[in-house]
Amino acid sequence: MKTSIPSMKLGLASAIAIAALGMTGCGGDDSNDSADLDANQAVGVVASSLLNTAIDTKDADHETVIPAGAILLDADNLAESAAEAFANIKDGDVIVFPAGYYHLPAQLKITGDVFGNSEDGRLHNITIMGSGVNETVLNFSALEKGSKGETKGVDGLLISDVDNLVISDITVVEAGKNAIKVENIDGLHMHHLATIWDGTLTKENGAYGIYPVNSKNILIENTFTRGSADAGVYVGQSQKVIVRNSIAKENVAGMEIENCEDAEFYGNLATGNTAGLLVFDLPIGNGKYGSNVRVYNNEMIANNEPNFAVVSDFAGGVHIAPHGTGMIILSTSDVEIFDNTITDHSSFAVAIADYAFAESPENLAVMPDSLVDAGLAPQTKYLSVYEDGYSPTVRNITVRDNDINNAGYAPDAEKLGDFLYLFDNFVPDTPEGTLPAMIFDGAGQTLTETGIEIPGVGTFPLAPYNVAYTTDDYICAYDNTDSTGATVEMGTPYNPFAIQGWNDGDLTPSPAASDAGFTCGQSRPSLAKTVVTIGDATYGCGTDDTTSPGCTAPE
Amino acid sequence: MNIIGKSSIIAFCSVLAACGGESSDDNQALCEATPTEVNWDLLLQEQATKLSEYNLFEKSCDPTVAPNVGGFPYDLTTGLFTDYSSKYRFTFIPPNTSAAYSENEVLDYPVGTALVKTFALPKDTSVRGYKAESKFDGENIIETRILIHRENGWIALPYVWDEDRKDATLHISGKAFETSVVHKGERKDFTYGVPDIQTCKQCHQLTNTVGEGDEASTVSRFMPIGPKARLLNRDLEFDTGIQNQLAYMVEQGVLTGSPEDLSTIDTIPVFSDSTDLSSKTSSELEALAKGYLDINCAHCHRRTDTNDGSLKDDGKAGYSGLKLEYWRELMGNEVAHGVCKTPIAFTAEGIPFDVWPGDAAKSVIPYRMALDTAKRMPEVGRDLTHDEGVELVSAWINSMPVESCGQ
Repeated sequence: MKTSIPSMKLGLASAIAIAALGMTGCGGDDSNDSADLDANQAVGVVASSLLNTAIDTKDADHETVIPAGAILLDADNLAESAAEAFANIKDGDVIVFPAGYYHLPAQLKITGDVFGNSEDGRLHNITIMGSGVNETVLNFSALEKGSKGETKGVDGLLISDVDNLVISDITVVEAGKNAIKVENIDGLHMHHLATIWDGTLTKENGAYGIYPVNSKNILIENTFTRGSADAGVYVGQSQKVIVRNSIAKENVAGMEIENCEDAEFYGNLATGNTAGLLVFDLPIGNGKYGSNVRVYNNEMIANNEPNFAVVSDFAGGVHIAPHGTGMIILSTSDVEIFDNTITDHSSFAVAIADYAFAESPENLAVMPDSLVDAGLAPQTKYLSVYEDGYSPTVRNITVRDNDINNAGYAPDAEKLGDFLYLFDNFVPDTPEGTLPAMIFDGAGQTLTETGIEIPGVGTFPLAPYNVAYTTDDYICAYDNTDSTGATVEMGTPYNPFAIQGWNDGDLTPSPAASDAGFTCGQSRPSLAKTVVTIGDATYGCGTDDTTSPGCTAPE
Repeated sequence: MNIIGKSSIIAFCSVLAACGGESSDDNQALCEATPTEVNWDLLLQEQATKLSEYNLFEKSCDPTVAPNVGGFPYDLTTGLFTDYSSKYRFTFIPPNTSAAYSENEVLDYPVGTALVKTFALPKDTSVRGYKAESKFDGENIIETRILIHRENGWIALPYVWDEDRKDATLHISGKAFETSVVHKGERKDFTYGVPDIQTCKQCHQLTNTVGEGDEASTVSRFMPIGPKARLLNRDLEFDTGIQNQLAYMVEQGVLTGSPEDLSTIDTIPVFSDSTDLSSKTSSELEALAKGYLDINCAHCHRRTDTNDGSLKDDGKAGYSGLKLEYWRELMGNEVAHGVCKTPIAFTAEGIPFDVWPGDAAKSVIPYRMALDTAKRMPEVGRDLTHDEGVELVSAWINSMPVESCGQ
């Protein structure tokens, strides 16, 4: 949102000109390894040309507009100039980083109103911007090393407690932890920006590129992320979120939302990641759980990179993502996935899974009070989060009208061993060592529907933590086709529509038949669209965007 | 005005034998006395460039003793760890105003109040105490942080002591420098960080929801951390003698509403680097550890649960589900304390739970307290690991009955 009168436009040519004038403090170097560059090596070149990664924000015509009255940082003394501007920030400030490739010696931080100027303790209408995603590169690798040479990286930019925050036209590279973390924001517009860990894909890279958390009214568009050892774009514990027209390339997860309410992903490209998109709902115990997520008109292409995240014992960590994943919907309810192109994924195009995908069912099961009280069994550690409103099962998921090709041909055997076993042994017509393009684990729904007590394990969370499924809760998949027009069907080892036998305690998988019931009558009402409000402006498909497919103006 | 001349300082020094050593050159001149009237208006209105402009202390070069009228010292039963520094804390309450007692939160101080805390680094932690007249012996004062309660709420201002230690200068963008300290015979090199003004708020902030539904908005409130009844309810030496701090405040007319019987306050037990843990019972360890986690963690790791999802004095990390306020009973709130709880955004192989009862080595809280990297806890405010804090939390976890946590 730009409210000021444009006073200056910076394009490629002017950036080169400025660099050539020596304002960036420059020099020449043939090195391709950005980590070895220092601030004096960017003369005469566009800053992003010093990176191995080519930045693409899906908006080649974008021009960076610097509002009148902006605070222009001093290129010759950038670190000090930036530190001063950030420390003194006031409502309405626009801080502009000049063109150039800069090493920053310290984190840049904003924590709301620190001068007692506002009654709500927050800052309002703040813009942090560069001179263009190719023109301004901030390198935070210097933060990674402490006085003893140990790794002690922090977030590059850390901004919190602002109403209406814009971050744009800048590239952040090699941050020690996360590139740009923003917390507790109402009204966030991140656009035309990139976060990159250049070079080898390794767990030593930072975790998240673009990282809004605990916020609301978030619009992320025309961004580019690469190299994150967790997720390129991660939005957590937030409400009203739109991520659109962005590219996530060669991260562990391209894009991920966790425990978010009212979120949309559209017009994005995820390629070369371990997993394209993750929609997770995790048992956090903070009263915030995800729902109402729409994923449409995205391209998920060849996300087959071996998982390079840090391995941990955290059941819901991104290290569980199999390579060759298009999307995973994990224990999040009320999700609609439509009109996406999902091509070339060795494990699967779409997986819909209960939290049992991440955590063993024994740990999720609720034990009867009689056993717990008698000291015969420990109660599940998740009981308090069930009481807090968390459900490990998925409900009301619709996957329709997607174009799905070339999936499940060589699944990640290490992470999908159970699925491969079940499909190989119990689901007819599944070629050995492959998986269906779309899978639904089905066990949670079936156990919830039947109330079967797994011998020695207990029951899957039942009422009051899980109520019986109605037709509105079903998992539906219809009108998904491949390039030949053939129907792509959902496969499941535990078919909730064929529960005969289950009530007898026979836990042998009961596979989906062709009339598995997933078609749900071939129609279902769409979920509500999300509208993001930032200041006086509203954004969304059909709100400000009336040209993207399916985004017509409301009548 | 009460001007203390050079000769009286010399006399003062000779009595206490505080001056001397290699730094005797003209140090007496550093300690000029200042007017006894605190500059209350300045505190309320402006960011003074020099600390001395507020007239907080009788001697502007020594913020560790002798506050001017309206000021008095305070101390906590358990402190927030800052790289083994010594802290000299003072409260300044304007004339004819008073703070109101709060059971669980920071005392409700009147507008105009200043909480003034000076950080000093000892060469060796076995020798503490600042001597302004021999400024380069023993401890070295580094910075003075002032929290001021203004009309719109609290603000924080960091002052860094000048090279000559005569006065301190406002450094809103902070300062970092290399230094070292000897602790229990071991030299520890580290980077001391004076927080920038933005960083202050990273810890000193609570968030509330105002309004409902689409009208709901978020309000961020700057709050002090330490001066809560449960941390203040202990004796301290005042100019009037040794006395309970809350009783002193009541007697001075600067605190109202506190309980008649101070022993009814659920008080955090005293913990210091010399506390002997070996003799403690498991319930004593629990109280000590909960107290330590309260002062060191619960300014972020706190949440007042509401039924409608609104925020009420939510800490920065309230959303993590780890809630460590001392008043929250462990029994029945195990997950809030991290017991068998998986962290939401931290991964390390072999360390699955925030607190794994019986196994501190596999528990995230002491693990992150001992980290020197990006994933350290607390995130800001320390460079060194607080060995004694880690030992305390570990001892508590190891004293808990073993649980499988479903593993």
